[in-house]
Amino acid sequence: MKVRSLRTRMGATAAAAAAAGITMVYAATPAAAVTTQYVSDNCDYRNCTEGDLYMNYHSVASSGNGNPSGSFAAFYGNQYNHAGETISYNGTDAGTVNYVFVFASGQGDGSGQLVKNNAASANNCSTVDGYRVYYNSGYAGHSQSIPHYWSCASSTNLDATLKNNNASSHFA
Amino acid sequence: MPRRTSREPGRLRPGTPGPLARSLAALAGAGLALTALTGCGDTDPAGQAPPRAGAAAAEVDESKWPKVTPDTGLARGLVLPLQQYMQTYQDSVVIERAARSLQTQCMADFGFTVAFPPVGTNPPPNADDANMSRRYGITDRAMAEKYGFGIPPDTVEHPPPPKLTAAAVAVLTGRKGLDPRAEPAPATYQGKKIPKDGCQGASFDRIGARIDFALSSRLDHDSLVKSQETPEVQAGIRAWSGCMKKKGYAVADPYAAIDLIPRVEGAETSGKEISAAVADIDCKKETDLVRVWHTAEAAIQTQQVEQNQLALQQLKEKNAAAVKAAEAALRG
Repeated sequence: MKVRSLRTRMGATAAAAAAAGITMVYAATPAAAVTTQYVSDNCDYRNCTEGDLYMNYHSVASSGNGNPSGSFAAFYGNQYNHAGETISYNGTDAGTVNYVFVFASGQGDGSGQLVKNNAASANNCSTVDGYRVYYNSGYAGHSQSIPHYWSCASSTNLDATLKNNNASSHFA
Repeated sequence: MPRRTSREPGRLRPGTPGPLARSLAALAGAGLALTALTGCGDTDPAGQAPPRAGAAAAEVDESKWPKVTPDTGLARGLVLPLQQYMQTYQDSVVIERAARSLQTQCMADFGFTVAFPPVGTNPPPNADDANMSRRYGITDRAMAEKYGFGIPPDTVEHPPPPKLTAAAVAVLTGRKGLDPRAEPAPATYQGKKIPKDGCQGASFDRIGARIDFALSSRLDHDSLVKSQETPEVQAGIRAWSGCMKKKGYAVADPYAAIDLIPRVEGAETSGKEISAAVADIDCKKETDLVRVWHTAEAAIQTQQVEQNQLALQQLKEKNAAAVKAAEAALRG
């Protein structure tokens, strides 16, 4: 299992997380607090197999021709909210983690930034699955198919020219 | 900082159903109750029993597939002009079935036996990019009463991709790994030339499935944005927000409503979320928001179709040709 979760400075990320609409829940005693982890791949904590939807910070000059420069994040399966998700492993605060999605560190432009509404293109590297990116969380709003008909090494530009365009994704 | 490395092909991560899980699935099929098989990455907001593992061809239940035009809820019967220029889930299933059949043959020609899972066992929530049932936020009261702002969980576990060795990945995809930055594979395998983008690329090219839907997709995105700039839709959203306020919810628009109540995976859908979702739908009904919004969008899309008629028609024809080619390939 890869270990690729990121930890960035707590102050900046707490503010960023709040801006992204992630509720930080704290119990009365700090020892039992919910923790936050910054990840750029949801397979870091889910039991995933291969075949991911890549969300890229930058767009490409034309869809279907290579990858953009800069950073990216990867998702397997259905993701209700590209801001992140809260998982309660055992029903207690100590057993609850807020996962916040950020673009991978050390990958140039966009590294460490929040993924939600901040991606410009996407790749589908699955050998079997199609994906749809939705423009609102909870699989709502306009959606854009990112099929696996194209090579994994070619990105598709997302519909919106301004960022503010990716908030959830689902197997298609 | 470490560069993200290519995934090792052939090494599956924990959670993939192995032989034990498949035996358990067979027992489950025989009617024995089983406690948690690890789910394969699907979130389950309703906290219901995990889906059964080991989807088989018999599990393709077309009655569970999403409908292009919703037949329940506030969006029932609503259609938008651009939808006829989109690829539907139904189209994509035919294409994918044919592609997997061609890929199986192509891989066999190189000496690989690849077992692809059946197509259509885990349908998505919507049948095309318009996403009518959730386009203006949620519209299905029966779904809201059970799942809040969520969707029903899968009834069958999503099948994992086939297990592939490094050599098989090279022949299937033309690359050394399943990640965007993987190196190109060598040009041949055991003296036989690998097609461009591997057997996968060749199968989609043979069907004519590599169609760029950017035009219909972008127009569909733009109409939803423009519709929110019209006075009638703005008034409708304000009225909806006012209705929600009377019910105790401070929320500006139906998209914000989806993020209103914090969700925790691994827990049952909260009563709070269900109440908020039901309020959302009742307010949409009271204000007639869905119909008002759809009417404004239909007018915008009618204009878009007129302005892009030729290009959209060509797109529609390419899609129809791909489906036809896929059907022919399946007939052998």
